[in-house]
Amino acid sequence: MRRLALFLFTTTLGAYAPNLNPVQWTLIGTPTKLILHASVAQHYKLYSLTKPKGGPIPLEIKVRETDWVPTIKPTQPGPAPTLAGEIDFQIPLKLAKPLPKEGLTLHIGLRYQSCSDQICLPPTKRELEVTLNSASR
Amino acid sequence: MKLSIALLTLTLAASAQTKSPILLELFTSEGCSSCPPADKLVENLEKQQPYNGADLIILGEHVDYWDGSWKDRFSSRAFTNRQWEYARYFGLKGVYTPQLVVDGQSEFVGSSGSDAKAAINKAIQNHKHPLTLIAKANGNKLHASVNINGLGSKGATLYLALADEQATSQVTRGENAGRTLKHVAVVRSLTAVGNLTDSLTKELDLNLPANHTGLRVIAFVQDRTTGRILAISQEKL
Repeated sequence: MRRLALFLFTTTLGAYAPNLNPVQWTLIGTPTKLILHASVAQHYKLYSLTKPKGGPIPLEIKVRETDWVPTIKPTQPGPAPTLAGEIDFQIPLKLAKPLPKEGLTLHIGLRYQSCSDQICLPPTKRELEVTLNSASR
Repeated sequence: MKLSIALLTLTLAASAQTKSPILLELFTSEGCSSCPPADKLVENLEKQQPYNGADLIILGEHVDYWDGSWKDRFSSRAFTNRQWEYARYFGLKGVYTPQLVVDGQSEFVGSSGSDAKAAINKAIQNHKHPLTLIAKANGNKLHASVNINGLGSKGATLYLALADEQATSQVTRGENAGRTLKHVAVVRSLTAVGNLTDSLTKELDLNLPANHTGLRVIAFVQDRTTGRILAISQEKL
C-alpha cells in the first residue's frame, strides 16, 4: 500500500481531457491584404512561422491560386517560436492580374503543429477560403 | 518451520494466480516534448507493479508522425495506424502523444498517474481468458507456440509482439535535443497472427530484430469489434 501511495504521489495528479482541436482559424481579406487569425485554446501553444533549429514543423501558409498570387510573405507578431492566445498573421497581397468583376476566391492551405503542457498533436492540415472583391478594398 | 514455509509458498502461488494480466500500450515518440514523463510513468509501473491484483504488461509503440528533424529509430507507421484504430474505437477525432491505452478499454494522457490508477482498477475487474505462450530463441530466430481454447468470442485477432526490454537514446535534434531518453518494452514488431472465435493453436518462426537488447514476447487476443483485450501472456527470453 505504501508503494502504491508513493507511486501515485510521484506521478501527475488530476485527470486531463485532451483538446484535439485547440486552434481555431478565421480568415478575412481585401485585394491588398489577408489577415489570418488563430485562436489558441488555453494551455496550448502553436508552433509559429519561425522554425527553431532542429525543431518541429513550423506553421506553413500557402495560397493555392499561385497564378494570381505567386508569392506571399506572412508575418507574425514577434519572433517567438511558439505562440499562444489570440494571434493575427498579416499576409500582404500583390495580385498578378486585375481583380475580376465577379471577385476572386483564394484558398489558403495551412499546416501546423500544437502542443499543451501535457500532450502534443500531430501535424494538422486546414483549408480556408476567402473571396476578394473590389468592395472589400 | 517447514509448515510456515509451505504455507507461504501456497499463499504466494495463490496470489500469483489471482493476478490479472493487463495490457498497457503507450503511444509515444522521441520527437515529442511531452512524452518523457509518460515513459517514466510506465517504467515505474512496470518496475513497481504497485497493484496487488494486476500483472502489468507494457508495450511501447513509437508513432511516426513526430519524425521531423529527429527520426525516432523505433517509430513505425504501423503503430500510428494502430493508434488511429483506437481513435475509432474510442470515438476520438484525432490522435495525440503521449497516449496510454489500458486493455483496449480506456485511454488517457500517458503521463497521468491518477488516470492510470482508475483504468487499471477497472481492468482488474474484467476476467481474462487463459492463453498459453511458449517462446524460445535460437540464434537470430524465434520459435513461438501459442494456444487458446474456448474463447467464445464473436471475432478476435491474435497478435504477437516482440519488444526490447529497454532502450536508451541520446537525442540530438528536435525538442528533446540534449536529453537521454529511456524506454521500456519498446515494440520492435507487432504481427496479426490469425483470427479466431473460439480456439486457435499457432506455431510460429520469426526473425529476431537486429540489435535487440533483451527481448520479451507478448501474445494477446483482441476483440475486433470493441478493441478489448481478451487474453494476454508474456515471456521474457
